[in-house]
Amino acid sequence: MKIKDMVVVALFSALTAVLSQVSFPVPFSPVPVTLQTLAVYLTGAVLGSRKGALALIVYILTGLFGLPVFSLGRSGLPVLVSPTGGYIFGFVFAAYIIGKIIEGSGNITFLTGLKAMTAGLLVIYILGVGQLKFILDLSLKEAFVIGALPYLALEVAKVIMGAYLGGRIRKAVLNVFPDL
Amino acid sequence: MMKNFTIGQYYPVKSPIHSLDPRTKITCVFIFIIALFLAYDYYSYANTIIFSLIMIVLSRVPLKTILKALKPIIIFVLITALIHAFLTPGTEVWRWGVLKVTKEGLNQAVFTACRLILLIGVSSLLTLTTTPISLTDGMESILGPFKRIGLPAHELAMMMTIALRFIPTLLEETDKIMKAQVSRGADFISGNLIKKSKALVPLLVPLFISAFKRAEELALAMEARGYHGGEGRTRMRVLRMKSADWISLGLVSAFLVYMGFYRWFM
Repeated sequence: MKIKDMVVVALFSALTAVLSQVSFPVPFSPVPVTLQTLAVYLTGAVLGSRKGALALIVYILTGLFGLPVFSLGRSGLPVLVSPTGGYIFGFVFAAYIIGKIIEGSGNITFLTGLKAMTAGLLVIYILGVGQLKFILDLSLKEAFVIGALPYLALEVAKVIMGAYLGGRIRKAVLNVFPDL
Repeated sequence: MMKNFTIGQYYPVKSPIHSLDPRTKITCVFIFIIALFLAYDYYSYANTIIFSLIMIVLSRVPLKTILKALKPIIIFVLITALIHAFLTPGTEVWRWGVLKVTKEGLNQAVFTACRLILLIGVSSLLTLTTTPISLTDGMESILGPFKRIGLPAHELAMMMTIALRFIPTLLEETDKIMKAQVSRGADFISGNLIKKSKALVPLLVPLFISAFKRAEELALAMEARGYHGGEGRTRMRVLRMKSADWISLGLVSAFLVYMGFYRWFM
């Protein structure tokens, strides 16, 4: 692994940690909405599949070992094994898939961004609802009602935001650092 | 934004658990979680509760601190207890209109609540009794053998250290860029979704570019100082397994075997 790649990946996991702190609660539900997922989409879009996924792995590990990088400044193993930990594991796969789809289509338009980030959103929610169901012993329907339904509208909004911002930021970064 | 950004949740006291090797603690927590998921009736849950309480007492972390870690999941405990109590079919014990509580449902509610509380409580011990640095060292050492199949243990640990170092810097940077853009008339608060995402462009583009610039400078500095990865690197703190580590690993494994035996053969 090149030193520069290593450092870039580390800085993106720090960036995800910073953007995760911008959060606001949703009524009737214990899970807050954050810019965390937007950071995941952008990491995947800018760094690509392998480096993007690695940045999210580093992000999870720093949180696991006690740094307050998860949403609301939480940290530690309890966050990952709690019912809502699955969403965080989903980030790694989401960044990978977003990176893969964008790399596959060459240049990034709003539409490819939309496609990639919808796929990423699905992956995050499949893992998130899956862990919720497993830990709380719920039926799939119950887990979906608690863990996905209240957020869908906001998540779709963030996907659109991610698709819009992803292309612009990737272009801006490539202008300054063409050998990304 | 985050003004009181405290690093780590480490609770500094001297205890038998604090002085264990980080590798022992990481392994023990995972073995305990598997054992916890094997519990299925009142007797086995009672066993796991006793085992967890012994660990908590040994760690000398006050119960209040552990209860604080449980706060975010209280609502989950309540919601799922209600769902299980009312929606599990079985022998009816209480009815009010269409709502009925069953015996099976009540049992299920108690078990899920127990499982969740023990899961969060015991796993919070890991970061309460171990510093982030020694956990990173422990992870590097545990993952070391996987280097052959391409798992970059040393690189992961190094990237975590770099991320740790740059989180406060990037926070400050975000704050600075936001203030600079607001002073030029940017509006991050009002407006509909399209306006809001457009407002994020002048924040995120400079933020991402500055992250890349810092990465380039740091990579150059590391190369100039002769950094060449983990090969042949010595360290100041060398991890050593003591007899207490082997005893703890033995005890937790014995507990797992006992729980498995109880579940399938008794």
